[in-house]
Amino acid sequence: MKIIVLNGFDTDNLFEKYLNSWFESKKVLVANLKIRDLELGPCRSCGSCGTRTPGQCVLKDGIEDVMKTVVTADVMILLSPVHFGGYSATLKKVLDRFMLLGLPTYFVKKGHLLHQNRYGKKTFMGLGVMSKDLALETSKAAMENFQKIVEANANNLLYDYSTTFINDQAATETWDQSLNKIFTGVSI
Amino acid sequence: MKKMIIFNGSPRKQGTSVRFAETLGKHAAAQGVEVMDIVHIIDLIDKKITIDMCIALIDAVDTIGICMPLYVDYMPYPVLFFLERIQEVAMEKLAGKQLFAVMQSGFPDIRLMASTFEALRIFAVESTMKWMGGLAFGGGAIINGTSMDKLGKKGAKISHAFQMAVEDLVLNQPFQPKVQTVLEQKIPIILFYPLTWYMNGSAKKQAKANGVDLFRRVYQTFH
Repeated sequence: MKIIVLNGFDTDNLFEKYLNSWFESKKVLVANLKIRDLELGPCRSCGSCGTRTPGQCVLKDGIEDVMKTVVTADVMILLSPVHFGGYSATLKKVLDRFMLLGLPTYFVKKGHLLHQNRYGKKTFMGLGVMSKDLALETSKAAMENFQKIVEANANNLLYDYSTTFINDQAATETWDQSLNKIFTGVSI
Repeated sequence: MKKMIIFNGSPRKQGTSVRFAETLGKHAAAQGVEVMDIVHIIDLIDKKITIDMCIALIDAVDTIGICMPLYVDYMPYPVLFFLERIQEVAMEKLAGKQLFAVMQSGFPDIRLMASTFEALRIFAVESTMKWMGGLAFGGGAIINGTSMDKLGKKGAKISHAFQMAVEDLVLNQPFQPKVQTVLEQKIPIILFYPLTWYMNGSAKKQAKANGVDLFRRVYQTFH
């Protein structure tokens, strides 16, 4: 099983380090894409990846290397601080380019127009990091919304998905429990 | 006099989001609102403008609007970048201001836009702004950057919805549900099937004309 972490943090942080050491302790090789270190620009909505250069971005900004790694993944961990109940801008910069993972053809499922995937079925694991009291009303709304976005992204490519939240103020034992829970039943 | 600024969240400067911003601006001006500018957020990403310039504009208005496309089921990266930076460096300047959004997607289905509006509502709560609501338009691909006045009845309907939205803003009240009802194109789900058949056929035809395989796996390398 190949796991890729799409790391949407802007700066070094304790949880990111903990996650790397957690995977090491499980003897799992993980590709960690620190998006903040990549020279990536925004999707320009030129539409070329639809039918002119199907599945290929015409921008030469490092997206090719990202995609070559991403298409090999079985599981993509969408690691992000929860900002306004969604992804960080840094993570979304890469996800905006994920039109490349879908075909420009559609089908209808449960009343939604969905894309067919180009590289087969994968799994999105949303890993939202909260830096506020999880009991606060806005935090609950934020987690609910984050979950819905991960679900929509997965559904749109016919991927499996799960979402877990980490409180960055919590003790590392709690982080450990959360990570164990995420990977329960996943053969890593 | 109320003052408004509208941000275009699309990387395209002549697309549907900008046409919507212009139409909103026209109605705002007609109702006595001074529209300071339509600012392209992509210029912030491209370093043609600075966050300080955006903050100076925000500081001068009571109402902030964002027109944007739906990208991969959520707001586009440039809009998120913009919101993060503003909150980071000038959250106190947002307090008490009205915030609204108009989102459009190429598809007729508008349900996925709810997550963006909820995120903007949370942003508004965190920034002690007044969330006025989000308006969703499905079918942006049909408009494809055309002015409302060249779209006949369809354009008139969209324009009317925006006029109603501005009326609510002027009255300092959140968008009433009827604004969304007027804006919405009611396409029954049953029609998604022939639409899918048409769009898929069209995509295959275009790829054939371009001499490319629509289903190719460009980034897959075999070792």
